[in-house]
Amino acid sequence: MLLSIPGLAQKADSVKVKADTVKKDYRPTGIRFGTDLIDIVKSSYDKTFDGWELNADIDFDRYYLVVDYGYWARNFVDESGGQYDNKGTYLRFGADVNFLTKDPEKNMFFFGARYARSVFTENLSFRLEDPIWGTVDTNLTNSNVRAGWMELTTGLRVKIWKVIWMGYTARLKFGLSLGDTDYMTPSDVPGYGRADKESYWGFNYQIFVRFPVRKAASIPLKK
Amino acid sequence: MKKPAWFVFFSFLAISCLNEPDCYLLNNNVIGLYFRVLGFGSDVMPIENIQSPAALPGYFYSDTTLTEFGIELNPIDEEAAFIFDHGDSVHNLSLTYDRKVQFVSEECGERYIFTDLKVNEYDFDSVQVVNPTPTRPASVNINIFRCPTTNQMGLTFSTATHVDGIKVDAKPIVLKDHEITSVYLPVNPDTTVTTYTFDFGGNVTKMLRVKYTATPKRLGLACGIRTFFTALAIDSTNLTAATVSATAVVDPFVKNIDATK
Repeated sequence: MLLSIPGLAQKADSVKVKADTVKKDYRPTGIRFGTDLIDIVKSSYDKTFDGWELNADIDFDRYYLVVDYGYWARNFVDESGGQYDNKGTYLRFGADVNFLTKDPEKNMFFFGARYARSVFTENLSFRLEDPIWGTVDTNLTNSNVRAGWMELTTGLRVKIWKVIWMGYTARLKFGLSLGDTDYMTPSDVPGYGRADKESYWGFNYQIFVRFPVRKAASIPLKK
Repeated sequence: MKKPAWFVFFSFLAISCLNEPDCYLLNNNVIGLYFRVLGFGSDVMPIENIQSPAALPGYFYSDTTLTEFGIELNPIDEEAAFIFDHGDSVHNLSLTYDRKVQFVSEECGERYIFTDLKVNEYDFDSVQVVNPTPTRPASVNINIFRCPTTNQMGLTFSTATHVDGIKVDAKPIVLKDHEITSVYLPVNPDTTVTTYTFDFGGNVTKMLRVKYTATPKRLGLACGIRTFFTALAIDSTNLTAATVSATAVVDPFVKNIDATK
């Protein structure tokens, strides 16, 4: 047998092992937990936005199962004194495929897909001043509105130092569906963006901590 | 050092791509109305004024003629009623619709979205909703139909002519003015020829016989059966000159016959 241990000990210097002949092992090697730095930065300088996002993924060879959970809150005052506020949460789950299959540190360049759901509540109060029909003060609320959409993703995950990873994710969001509302059309969907856009680009800049589950089989070097 | 440099680059890229809302065109509350003559085409309606009981004092339109025009829906309510004063008659039109508010941005504020436009009540001859969603810019949402007057033929004299009286098939008609450049004359739907006798005064009387094809057509419940006159032709006349310039009687009326005393 080529892979008998005594034989291998004597012949290690002369054996060339091609990576693509190694049997795939789909057992997870680690779980990553991270957060989006853009939301944190934006929350600190943008007085109209408050939000955070938590990310997690687990590897199955080159395939990754991904879950994101986040919170967005927006608060606007328009030039005529009207006030709009919106707060809610969102959940994304999906999968990524890593195309850097030969990287020994499992750095990633990936493409993936997500399905997302959001639940949010929004309030709007303003004074309507119409030159023909008159003036009226209006207060409207949409409670527990549900939304869903799809995403296509791409990005990088790179090991920075020991268990610290950083990466970015670009996401194309589309296919937004909204629950029925009575007198107010939703303006903003947490996790998606403006409700009246058919598609939306999003960008996350993330930092992760990876917890190893087991040691992955190393890819031998060619000699 | 390469990795940190890449991540600094991507962080600048990320911040530059942060979502900023656009300022959209706002309310779509203007609907298009189109006055039309059933069975024909556009109509030109005299308008003394158009107003709404729910609106602030004032008129949407006044002292004008309208064919195709826009009018604003009421964003405060889900219905709007309009009164059309034509001078010699008054019509009412009541509409209902759905309206929803949407916050646009700090710069733009709020906007109203109008949909599902319906006619609630009317006393025009006929009304038709062609597009229940107001658009911006406005397009035609509602056609307002008038039943046609199909038995009036237009006759024009080459110069202003004094006429003491006109008889149509030996029956006198009322003239508003005796100095005539053009006049609308009734056409007899029960025959295929109508005879017009002109009394020009000073014992000068002349005759014009016009032949045509009369076709009755049903114009829906609102207008019933109307007779359409086509293939107008001069049968006989002792006027100096008479020629047919339009062979069909239409509404709004056109000049069908050019005549010289």
